[in-house]
Amino acid sequence: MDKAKENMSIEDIITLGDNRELLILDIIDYKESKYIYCVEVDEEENPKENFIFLKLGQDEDGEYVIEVKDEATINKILPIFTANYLNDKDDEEDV
Amino acid sequence: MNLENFKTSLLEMIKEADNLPASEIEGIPGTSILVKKGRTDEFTAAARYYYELKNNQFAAGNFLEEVYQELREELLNEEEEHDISKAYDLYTANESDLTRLGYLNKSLEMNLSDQEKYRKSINDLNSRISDLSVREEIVNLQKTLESLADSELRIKNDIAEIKDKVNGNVRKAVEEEMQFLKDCYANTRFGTATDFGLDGTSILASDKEVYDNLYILLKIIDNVNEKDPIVAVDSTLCVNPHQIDAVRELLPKINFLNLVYKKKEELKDTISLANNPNEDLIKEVLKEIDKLYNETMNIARGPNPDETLLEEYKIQLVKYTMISFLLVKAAHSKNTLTQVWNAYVDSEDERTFENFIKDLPLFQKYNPELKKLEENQKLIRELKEHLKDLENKVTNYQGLTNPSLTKIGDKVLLSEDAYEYHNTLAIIHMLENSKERLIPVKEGGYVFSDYLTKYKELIQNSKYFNPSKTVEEPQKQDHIELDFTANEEMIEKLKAEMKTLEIETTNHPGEEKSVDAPVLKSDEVEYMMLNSLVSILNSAKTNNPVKVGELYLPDGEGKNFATIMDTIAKLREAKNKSVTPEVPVKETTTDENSEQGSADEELTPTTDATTNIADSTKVNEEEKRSPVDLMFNLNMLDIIQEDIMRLTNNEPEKLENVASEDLEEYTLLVEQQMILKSVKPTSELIQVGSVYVPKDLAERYKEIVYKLASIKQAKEEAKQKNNNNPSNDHGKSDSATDGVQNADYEEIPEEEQEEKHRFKTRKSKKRRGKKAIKCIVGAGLVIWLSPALFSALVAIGATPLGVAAILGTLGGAGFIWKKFKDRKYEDVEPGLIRGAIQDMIHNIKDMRSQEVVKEPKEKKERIYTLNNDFLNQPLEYNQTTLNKKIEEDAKKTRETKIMNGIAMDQDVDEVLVEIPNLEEILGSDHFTR
Repeated sequence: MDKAKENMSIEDIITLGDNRELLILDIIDYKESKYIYCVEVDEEENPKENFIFLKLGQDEDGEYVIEVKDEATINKILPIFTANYLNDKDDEEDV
Repeated sequence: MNLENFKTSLLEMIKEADNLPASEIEGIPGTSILVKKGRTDEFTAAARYYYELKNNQFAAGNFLEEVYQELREELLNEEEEHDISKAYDLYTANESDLTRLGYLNKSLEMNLSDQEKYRKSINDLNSRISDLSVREEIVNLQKTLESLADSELRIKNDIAEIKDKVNGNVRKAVEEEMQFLKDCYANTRFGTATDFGLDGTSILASDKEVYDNLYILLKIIDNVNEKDPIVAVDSTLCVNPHQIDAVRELLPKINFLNLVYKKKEELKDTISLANNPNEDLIKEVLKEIDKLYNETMNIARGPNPDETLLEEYKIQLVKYTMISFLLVKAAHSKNTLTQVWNAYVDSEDERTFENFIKDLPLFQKYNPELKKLEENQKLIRELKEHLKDLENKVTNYQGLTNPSLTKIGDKVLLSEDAYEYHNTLAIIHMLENSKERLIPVKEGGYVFSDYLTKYKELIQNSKYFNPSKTVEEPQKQDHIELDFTANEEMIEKLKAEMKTLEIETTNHPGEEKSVDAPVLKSDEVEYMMLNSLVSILNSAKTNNPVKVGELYLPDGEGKNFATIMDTIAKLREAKNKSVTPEVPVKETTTDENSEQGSADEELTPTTDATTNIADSTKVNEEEKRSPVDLMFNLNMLDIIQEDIMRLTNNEPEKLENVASEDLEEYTLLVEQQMILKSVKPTSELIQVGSVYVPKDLAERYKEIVYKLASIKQAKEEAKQKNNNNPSNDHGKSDSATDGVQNADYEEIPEEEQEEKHRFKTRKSKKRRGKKAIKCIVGAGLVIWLSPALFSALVAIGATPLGVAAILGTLGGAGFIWKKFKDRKYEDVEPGLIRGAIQDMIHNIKDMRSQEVVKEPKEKKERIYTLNNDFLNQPLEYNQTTLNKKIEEDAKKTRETKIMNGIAMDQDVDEVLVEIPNLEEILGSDHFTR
């Protein structure tokens, strides 16, 4: 997992096995798991409208991601992403 | 004795001295301290021990004064805390009712002013009462007045109910306070100065003024008269206007009530009370959204989802969502609020809101027109029975031989009943479409105000409504001499064509001849068809003729005639023969039976009307149009208006509401509307289909109709295509809503949910910067955050930009959504998104918190009393402290708090909203329970 932390950061692109490309928007730790908030992008890396939550995992074959689809989990992690967004004062300067 | 014992003893001595006459007290030498005579040493000793225990040092210097001032301050604070707590309780108990009272009084004022207006109209009309139409008008106005009087009574009852509730709460608080003062007397020591209150109760002399003021207030409350207007005085209690001055004089003298009205704003800011006149309704709507959402999901995930039901539910979800936003918006509106059914909405949203609620099941019980609608339903049932009776007359007909029959749709009727049948259908149609602004009509039914004139015309010509009166039936035209010259000319022409074909046989002796007709085999079909046309034209004289252009055709044969004509033309074209001269084919009506046509038109769907119009040709150019003829135009205008409302989300003037793909349709509809509106009875008119338009605009009108028909067809085809191919673009859709829809509505197999994706990461080729990333994050969160909004977005499936436009009218979220859809990230500032998200969370919180209140007993029973050091600070200071605390706290324990929020199974949004939970953020030190 630490490896992922090192290798993955906001604005990186994840390419899944099915060739979907996802832009990483935010990463959080929740209940000892890492959750990634991403948006699917097209060939030119422009965001499409599919926003996806991924959960990072690791098994004997290495790291993998699972698309989080169940509402209960989304309802738990969504506020944290929102909190990150709302509380990130740095971007005030950006505006 | 410990520290607390000394403190209690000292406080008692101070309070005791306060309640004694000057002759009974003495000062401690060298200080300003007053105690009961003979207790100076006791006070001094207790003060010394208290000081030493508290400060852990020997008492020296001015310690007596220091202890006295500290305890004196604490006494004052105790009282203030008591008052603040009481004021808070009272404020929370009455706030929403008093706000509602304000709206009810506004409604009452409008109601009374309307009644006055109608009474005046009736008086004016009375001078012309001999006129039948005036008498009818007066009856209608009187009915309206009655309904207003009913409404007035309801409002007054509501006001009285609020008065009882609010004043009941105040009475309870006042009585508790009086009891407290009585207890003070009962617990006092011998020698304390006492007195009698106005009601003869023994009280401490020092409490007399307060006690009497409370007593007077009770008497005022007892004397509030329900027959006089009832108003809220300074957000505190309900009184009659003549009592306001007396109450205003009393309130500042009663501490806790003084706080309620004087510190209303401070209390509001500090305690963040809800102030929404729609509070109960919002709860109901939210419950309905949840219920509907669950039902929708159940259906969608079921084995064979009922698409129609699903679509209906989705539409309802969008409506409820929009309604909840409008209700919340009303609470923050600076505009005047308007009452719509049982809701208060921003006056600018009135129409939109009404359109949303009028068909929704939840709101029907609040529909003030419900009774009228029920009566309409009853009348509709009776009218349908009447239709059946007319239909049955054919089977029961045993009178004359060879009764004249006619066909209307698939029903066969006696010709003499055709008009009545059409007329009744038209009446039913109007009743079924009358759902608002209902005007009572003497003969029966409540109709939408715009229909009134037409409805009355229909009623006047109805046998059902005028059984004893001989209704002038335009159908009874036996005595009118019809001119069949055009028919005869046409028959001659057709016969000549047939003759030509017959001659062709002799010109081509080698060709195969027909067995059934005296023509070549190749001309057989054409010949037979020409013969059919002749038969049709011949039968017109005896078979309920309807004028079609210059010709008369048997009723119902127009379409057949046109088809045959068309086929002949095609046959000839194929054979390179000359095409038959164009013959009018669209059935139009004569003046004699125009009402029948009008009834038909009432029931004609838009598409048919528009597509068929294109086939029509000009007729009757010279004819004068009767008002009944021009009714067709009005009907068409209604239809066009409905379409425009659909495209503009019920805001016909707002072009920005129209989705880009609908713009062409919208523009054409507006142009079509303008052409029809430009018709004046004196204009030179030409009939196009069922309507009359100015002659010089006829071609353009036809073009518009053609274009509209093809747009509708294209849309239908696209819809069909989508329905046939619902899920082949999951994850690849161009529309976010498709994505949302698929994500939620597709049944996702368990194994797919858990599918592990191996992945690679790489740096993005684009250098977006933090701002752009934030924009994308924000836009995504806007979509995800609100389940209600989410539901709404799910339903966007059919018309994404259309619903985005609805959202657009509701604030930042919609704006962002639309920009995001258009991929115009540069137009969206992160700050704007943040604002939208905060607004949304705030709204959700606002709405949900009202549900939460029901359950947690612990929360409900808590009475927070704010410590003075916090309360006594200026508000700005408190706010700054709070903000600072929030920031620090957010940085340090943000995630922990959120986790706790989740672990406690609370509404997670609550943790995020920057309306602080004071206890949690400031720490329990600031609270006592």
